Amino acid sequence: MSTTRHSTGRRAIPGSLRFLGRALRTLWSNGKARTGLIILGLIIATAVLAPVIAPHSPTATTFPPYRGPDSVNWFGTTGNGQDVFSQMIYGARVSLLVGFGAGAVATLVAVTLGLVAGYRPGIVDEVLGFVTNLALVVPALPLMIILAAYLQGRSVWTIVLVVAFTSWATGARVIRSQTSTLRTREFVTSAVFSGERLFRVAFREILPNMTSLVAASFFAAATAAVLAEASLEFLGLGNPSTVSWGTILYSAQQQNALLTGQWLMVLAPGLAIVLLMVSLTLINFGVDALSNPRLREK
Amino acid sequence: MERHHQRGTDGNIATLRFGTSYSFPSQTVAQTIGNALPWTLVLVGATTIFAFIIGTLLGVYAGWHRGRLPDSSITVGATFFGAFPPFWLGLLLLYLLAFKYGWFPIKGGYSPGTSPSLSLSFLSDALRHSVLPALTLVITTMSGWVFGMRNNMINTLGEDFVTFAEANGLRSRTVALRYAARNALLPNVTAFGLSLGSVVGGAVLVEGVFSYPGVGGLLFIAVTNHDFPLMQALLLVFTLSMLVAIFIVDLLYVRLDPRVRR
Repeated sequence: MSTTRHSTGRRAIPGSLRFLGRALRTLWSNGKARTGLIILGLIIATAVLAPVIAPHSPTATTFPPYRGPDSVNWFGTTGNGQDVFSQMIYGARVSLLVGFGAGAVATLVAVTLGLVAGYRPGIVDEVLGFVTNLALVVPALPLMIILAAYLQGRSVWTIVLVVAFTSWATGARVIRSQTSTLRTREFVTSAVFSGERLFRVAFREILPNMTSLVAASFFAAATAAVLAEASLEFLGLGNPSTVSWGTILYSAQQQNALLTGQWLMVLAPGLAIVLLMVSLTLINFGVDALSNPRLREK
Repeated sequence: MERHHQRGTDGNIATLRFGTSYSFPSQTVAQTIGNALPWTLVLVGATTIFAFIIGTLLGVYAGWHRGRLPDSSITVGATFFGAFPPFWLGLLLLYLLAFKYGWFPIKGGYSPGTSPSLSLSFLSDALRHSVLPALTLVITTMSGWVFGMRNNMINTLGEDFVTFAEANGLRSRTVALRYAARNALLPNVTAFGLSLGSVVGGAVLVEGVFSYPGVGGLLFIAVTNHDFPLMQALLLVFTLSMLVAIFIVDLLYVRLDPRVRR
């Protein structure tokens, strides 16, 4: 089977890469998703090229503190005399990292639990379903706030784990119900009869049929993670020495930036968060349209 | 009976004895939360219902005119406003409408010097204080209802009974509201209970920004003071209110959908 696939492929491109390329092409054909991909691409480029774009070091305390926007410090300076514009550029890295990191971990948990619960009705499904419902009912942000307050280690990874831990449940429920409808289809039965193991049936036969669901829950979790990270850092639960959009908002709030005329210090990071979340939401519209032909644009 | 009662008073959660909070040492945690809970119940309850009604109507409108200007403008607007971090929008509104133009009070749930009562003057004062937090929450939570309703509408509009209703020559208003929207509403109602979790989450930071006297503001204070007894009790209260809300929504669902009545 795999040898024929290799011989028909013109070049030796791995199947997963080709699949990704096809998915991107289909997304690109959707107007909303295209806008989202372009915005996301710009933000990723900013994060990667941060040392080139940023005019100053984001952490150097070389400027007079509490400066309003001027020609040297375009967005003003913090109370420690750091350049806010450079912090904005570097901050894209943390938001992307937390968004994609937490989104990936949450999706991994959601897919695993959802597949197992949907494929194994009975006691396993009951137990996993109970855990999922429990996680759905506890309000996410208050739980995150309390977890982050308990976990004293203040690093970006703490936030990634806390956010991932609290945002897998919706995806798990959606994937569980889809798995349980696919479980009784003929191709799954034939795979089971041909002697394939549970793990292989679940991940190689069932999972590829719900790629769009998995992608949708990834982008939803990533969007929630970006917001959650900003909220936790705004509350002062992040690491204050990390340069991120959330910590800029935190220090703006600490130094009453709005009242002292440093309104860009509040406006800019918030708008950046909005742009990143809008781009992820727009991409998710495209993913929705992939799985539901009725939502496609004519 | 007697023994049961006694065990109750010794217990912890059953008697709402969470110990003493570090932030408000003169009161029990239960009293502190009891004073704050009505503020949040009214604020979050009212804004959620407002956001649900406005968002659902916009979603019906967008779904009915799918692919045309009203649809794209509503979708783009809702995407944008739905991405606003609630606390950030709160800060901006606070700065513009309260600090710069002075149309609304800057902080708190009522004017300093007045004490909470049910008099008309106090209620109108409290209402004026709640406008900005409520506006923040309505704007940031509305988009979920818009998207949910729009997508449900588009799915329902593809059903045969809608085509049949149109073919019968019913007015498009009747088809949109009585045939399509009524059926498209059901998944949105189911989501209503679960959505309260995210509204409560947004309310925590918004109440913190506006120094509102609700339970969200309390969590804000508890986090700043590392007040773990208060935090634990608050998480329990949030979760219990979610359960009650989901229960009420389930009861409502029975009224809306005759199919689940038996």
